[in-house]
Amino acid sequence: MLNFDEELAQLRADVAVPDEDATRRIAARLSRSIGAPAVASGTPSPHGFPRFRSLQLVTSFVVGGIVGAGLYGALRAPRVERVYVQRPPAPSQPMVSSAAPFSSAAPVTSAVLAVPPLAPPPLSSARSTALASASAAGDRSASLAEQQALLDIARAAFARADYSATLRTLDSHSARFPKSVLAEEREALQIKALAASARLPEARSLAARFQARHPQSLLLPSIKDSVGAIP
Amino acid sequence: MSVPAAPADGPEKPSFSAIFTRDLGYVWMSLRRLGVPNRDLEDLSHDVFFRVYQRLSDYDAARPFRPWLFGFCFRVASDYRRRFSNQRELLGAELEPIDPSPDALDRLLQAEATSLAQLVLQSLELERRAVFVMHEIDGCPIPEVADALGIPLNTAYSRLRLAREQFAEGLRRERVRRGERC
Repeated sequence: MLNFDEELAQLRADVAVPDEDATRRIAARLSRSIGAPAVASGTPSPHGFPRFRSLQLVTSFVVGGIVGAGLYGALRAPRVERVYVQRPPAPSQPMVSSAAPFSSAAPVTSAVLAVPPLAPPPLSSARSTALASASAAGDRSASLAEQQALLDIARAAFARADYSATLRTLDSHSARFPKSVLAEEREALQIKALAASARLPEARSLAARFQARHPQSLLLPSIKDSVGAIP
Repeated sequence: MSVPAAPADGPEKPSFSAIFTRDLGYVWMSLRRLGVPNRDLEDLSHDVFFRVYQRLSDYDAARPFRPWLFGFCFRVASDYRRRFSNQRELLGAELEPIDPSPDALDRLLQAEATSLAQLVLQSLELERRAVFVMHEIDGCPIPEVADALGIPLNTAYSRLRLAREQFAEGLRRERVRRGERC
């Protein structure tokens, strides 16, 4: 017979509650997580923060946001495209003919320009063109694999509820592959990670952009599920 | 600081502000009973209420509220334990300076336990502990426990039985260790 009534009574009697400071901090964080529009504007809270104080905070936030956005737009430096080129170890004749021209508009991967360390025999023009296109296809598939691998790392972080690591990995993904074919998946995961890490206003704003950009996306239902409602 | 308002409440549902004011203590205590150390209670209480806010429109006002709320506490505590055990595998400089051994969380909780009953409660497996706390401490009927935790009724009964046995055995063992009579 299991009898532990005394211990159960001890457990029931053991009541610890957060102190007033902790309560206020949790309420403040909740207000920030949920967003300014969700902050109650009714009666004063039981913790002594009157209504006008909330209004003051909201007004400062809105005015600051507008001024900040204006300054950002006016002072933003023009975007600089980066091109990564791997230099060959020693100067020699390039293998790539005019069939694979180097353009500064599109990032060029290193393998296209790489030169083998030993000087190869001269190639015919047709053969070098074929080699260059095979190499470019290989690059694309390697790059896709790399994009997928990085996204998988972010997904794994999300699965173990490490949302800050998820967002960091996704930031690095979008910095390295700004026009990735996996951008839709990346954005969806970013929205879910933001929502799960209590940054609902940002998540909702990105969700609205996502919906406008991908109205037929299969990922929309799960996004809606994570942010509640898309504005 | 005022508490956020509910997203979309029906007329009979409690408002989010009212829930926060009334149930913060319950959430705090439940998280503690579910093995969250004192230092993280504030963060996780916030997480519970944030999830409640997101899901408040799903709440069926005809059903008791606290078991529904406890379900959130359980999931947040469960995520927390998983995250804690994964923490030592992460790379980078943002790790908390914690003891990296696998049972560090249990040791921390043992140090915080103020009574024999608390110490033994912390030794129960989380899934069993949740059923035990809901039924034995909060006085919630087992069908409601099963519903709130999203588990079959038989599983809930089975977990309760195992938790009771484990709790009684833990008490006996701890008393022997302390040299008390059983």
